[in-house]
Amino acid sequence: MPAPSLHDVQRLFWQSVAVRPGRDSIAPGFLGLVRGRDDSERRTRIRVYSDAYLLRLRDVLREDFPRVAALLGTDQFDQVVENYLEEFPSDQPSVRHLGRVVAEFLRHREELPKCLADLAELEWARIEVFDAPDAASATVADLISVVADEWPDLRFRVIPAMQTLRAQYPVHQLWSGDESLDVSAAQTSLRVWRKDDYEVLHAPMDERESAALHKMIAGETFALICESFGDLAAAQAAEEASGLLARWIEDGIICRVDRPD
Amino acid sequence: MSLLPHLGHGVGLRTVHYPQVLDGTARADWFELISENFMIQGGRPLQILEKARELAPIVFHGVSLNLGGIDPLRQDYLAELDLLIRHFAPAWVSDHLCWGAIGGHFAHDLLPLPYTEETVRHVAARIRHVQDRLGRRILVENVSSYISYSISSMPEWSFLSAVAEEADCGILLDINNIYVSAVNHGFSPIEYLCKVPAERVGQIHLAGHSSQGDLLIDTHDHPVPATVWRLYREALRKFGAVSTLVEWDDQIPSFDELIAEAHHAREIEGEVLSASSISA
Ligand SMILES: [Fe+2]
Repeated sequence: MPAPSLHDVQRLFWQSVAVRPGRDSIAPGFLGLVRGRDDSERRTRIRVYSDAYLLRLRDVLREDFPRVAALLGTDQFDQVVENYLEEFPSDQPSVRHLGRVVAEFLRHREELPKCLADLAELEWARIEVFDAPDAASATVADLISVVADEWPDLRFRVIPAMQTLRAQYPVHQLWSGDESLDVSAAQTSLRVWRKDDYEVLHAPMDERESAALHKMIAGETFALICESFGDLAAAQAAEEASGLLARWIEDGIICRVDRPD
Repeated sequence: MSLLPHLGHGVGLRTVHYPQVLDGTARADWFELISENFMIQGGRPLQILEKARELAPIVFHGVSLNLGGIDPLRQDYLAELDLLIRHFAPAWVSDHLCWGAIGGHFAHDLLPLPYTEETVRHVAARIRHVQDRLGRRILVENVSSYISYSISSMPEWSFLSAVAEEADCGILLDINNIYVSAVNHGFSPIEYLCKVPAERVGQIHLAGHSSQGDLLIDTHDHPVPATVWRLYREALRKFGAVSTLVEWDDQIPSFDELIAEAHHAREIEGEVLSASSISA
């Protein structure tokens, strides 16, 4: 029998250590490749690797999804992690990406409360925003010199470290601990962004703000953005829209103000 | 390695010490940073990295190059590493003599290789590819291991030496890993030190470990133990002054406590080198 190749060794190792996280699944043929007094010692040694694999990646996911982990409780979260790793082993060199499809994974688990997937989406958005590209925020000074008839045609660019999120549950309340897993469904829009000092924040938006922000992201003019307040009286709409713009500027989510040519 | 500068006695920079980097109180001879943590597009970590290299020389230490793996080397990874190197100009770059991915899936662990001629050729060719791609020599580090393979045909030091010679790369010698593996597999750590090509050793790692039954585990969650300090003295007698770095990755202490370990390493270096110059 030819000696096992490097490929055989690694394939058997992976099967024994990572394919079924949390369960003893030492591949037939691997034990014989490992030195030891007896099979019991060989198993003990191999288990160092399978335990380390699961514990390390579980820690990463617990750190990335602290609220999902807290709401599920230790036992259930551990079980979710084992199932997740079995279905979605890491496919990137940086472990930073490990949790990329956790929200999607949770959405397909019928036995889990539906709000969990939404919460996981918020937690993942916070991670994405944390290390999104840098961009210097615009300031009020960028708007001061804008003359009245330029306003309707202004366009804005939002920072890369900003995401919007739509959820079926009030995930910001789940995140803050004000709600538990039996929370009632409620359409929720959020923005998630990183401030200039690198702090990551999120805030719920009402329908008007959400519509206005999406128009801004799409590069629409200020006049079109203001149409999101079309159901209000003209004076109030203008007041709301400029108030919103001031808040976005203050939050640092706008990085460029383009005047009409 | 004579081509590398002696940076002194540094520490591995981890997230908990970012505040001290920001306020400039993180003073060390040099910092080692995990390359993958900075393969990102923006945000605080990159700001910390900018700040860190204002404070001291930096070195990039990778964990996912998968040098011993069967999967093709990830060109996207090499491109990102290359970008980091160009931007941040580390004194050198290192990764591990191990494997960590198969079938496109990553263990995020440093997994042991069988020590055979086949593996030597395979790994050396991959290291050469990486060095060509990056336009520089890299250092490869010996890892701690808990299993060894019945098909291995040479001791670890022969494997490490053969790979380094064939790839023409440097060696990052982890003294703690030598000690841990020596206990786990019953070989002599002193013989290991004696058989490694001294001219290729460009950096030394020191760290703590813990025990689990009969095995030592490379947990990096303790101070450097006396056994590892003793072996460090042997290494200094053999290799002379080598840039040395203290790693601490779990139960991480205050920056002051961490830096005290690096200072201790400096004291030991002073003692050993002055004693050997007297005896010479
Ligand atoms: Fe090390």
